[in-house]
Amino acid sequence: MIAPSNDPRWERLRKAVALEPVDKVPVCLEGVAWSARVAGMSLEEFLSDPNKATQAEIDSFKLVGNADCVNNPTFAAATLSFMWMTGVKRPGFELGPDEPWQVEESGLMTPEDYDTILEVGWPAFQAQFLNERIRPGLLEEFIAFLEKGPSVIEQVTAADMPYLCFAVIIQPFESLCGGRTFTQFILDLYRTPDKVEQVMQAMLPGMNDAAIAGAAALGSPGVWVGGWRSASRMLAQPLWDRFVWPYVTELVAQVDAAGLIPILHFDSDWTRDLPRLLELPAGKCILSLDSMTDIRKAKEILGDHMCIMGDVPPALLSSGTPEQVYEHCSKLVADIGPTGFILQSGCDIPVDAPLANVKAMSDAAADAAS
Amino acid sequence: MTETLTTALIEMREDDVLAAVRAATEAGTSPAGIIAGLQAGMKTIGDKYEAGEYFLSELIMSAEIFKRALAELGLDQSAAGTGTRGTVILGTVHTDIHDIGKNIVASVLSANGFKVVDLGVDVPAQRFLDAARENDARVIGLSCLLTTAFPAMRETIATFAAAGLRDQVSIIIGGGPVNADLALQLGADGAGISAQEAVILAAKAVEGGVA
Repeated sequence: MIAPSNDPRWERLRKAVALEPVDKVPVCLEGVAWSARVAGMSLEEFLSDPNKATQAEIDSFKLVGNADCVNNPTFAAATLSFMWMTGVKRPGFELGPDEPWQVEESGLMTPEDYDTILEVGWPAFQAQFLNERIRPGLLEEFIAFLEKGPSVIEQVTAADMPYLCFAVIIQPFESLCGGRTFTQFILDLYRTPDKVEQVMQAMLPGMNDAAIAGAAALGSPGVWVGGWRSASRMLAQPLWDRFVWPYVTELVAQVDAAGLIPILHFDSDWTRDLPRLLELPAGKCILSLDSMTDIRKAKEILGDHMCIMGDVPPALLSSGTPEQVYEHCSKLVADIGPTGFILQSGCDIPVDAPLANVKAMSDAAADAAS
Repeated sequence: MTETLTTALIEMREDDVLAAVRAATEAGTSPAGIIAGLQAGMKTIGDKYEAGEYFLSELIMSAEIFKRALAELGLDQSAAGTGTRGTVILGTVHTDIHDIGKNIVASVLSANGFKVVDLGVDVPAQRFLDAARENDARVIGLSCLLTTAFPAMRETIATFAAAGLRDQVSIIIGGGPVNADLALQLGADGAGISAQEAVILAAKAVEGGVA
């Protein structure tokens, strides 16, 4: 949650989530790799230490000047393996020192693993999987990253940089789908639906307890409830109704019960199922879109129910001119704001987006307010 | 007989499709007749996807059933007359290793009658050109997830132009950050924002010149 504050940036964010009038549409910077590039730090160095990553975010936040917050105040590539049960090619290791990290989906999880998960439980299976099938020491690396949480929060507080979220939680669908590969997992859903459902139900209890408790202990305003491969466009309605939505609603309830903002980080196209989001608690969530979902339809259906965040297209931020970005963002602010809207990139700001384009995004919100 | 097969495919009933293939074979239906029944099902599935009734999961599952049905006939996709609509050279461009979308597009194109030459990931521009020449292909599909791969897409398109082949091929881009504006900007002939759209663009390219 966000407490009432004398800081106008925090206050804008609080009001945006609560669907109250704001003096200006708040702007959020979500661009972990981008921040390194803008701050003149190699991606290898950025990933080498969570505090270095945070410093890059602070530096880029200052360079933009008039944004209101960042989304995640730090980053570790190990998080991606933890979420999707996949390898990640990293700058300075498998890639050149300044090449962007990339998830490598290679089907490390087998159909037999479904039975193993039922037998030993998800936490034990995941711990063994990370170190034995992806990379030795990966679990310890991820834990070391989490242990840096308090110093990261001290760092952003000292830099006076508001942020939204320190934790990501996901549904069983995302982990199993990443581990099996997208195509194989879809086939599993058709061929062995009861088995997959049994595994998902076994995974869910406690799967995200530590992440939610950790975020709450750090004072994080919100927690990402992630959805990538589980988007509406990916799945037939009966599959989505059975394997996605019940788990999303449960995770949102868990985050809300902890007093945190569920940030629905929904990549790809969720347009079909936007009306279902009315089932989530009113005035509590942020729906973060990546430009694939129809944001205007989202506003029409959910504008009185939850805050919407997004969705400047990555291609525009990467390849457009500042004038094009400014025009696009001004229209977004006019159409989706001012109430219940946070202007942000669609998912991450691309690593190669010029600083001038991100400034143009932030300026569009500032100018609309003045 | 093939109506049963077509309906079972449209309804994603894998075992029923395979049983119908066996029954049709025993009844003396030619492989070409059985394949025609399967392709009629794929056409309906594509139409339903375009109409918003079906989604990506149905495209993936039906492509898999199609592949297994061909195997039941002792055929693979390239030998089953499925290359008759033309050849598509497909790959994720240099510097990018993401392949989820590309793999799905490959399956769906194959199941819709195209021969697909999948070059994999991190593919240099010259390999696309060489493969196009070797296979006499008129459709090139360039995939990426990273915006940092846009220059590699541009370079690949330029490589075809420098070789004097640009007017003879249709180059379609696809992937998460791709849209029609970017296609124009990079000099591509179209952007396939879904697997089914890739089929439509490829069909346009082989049937009526560039997409």
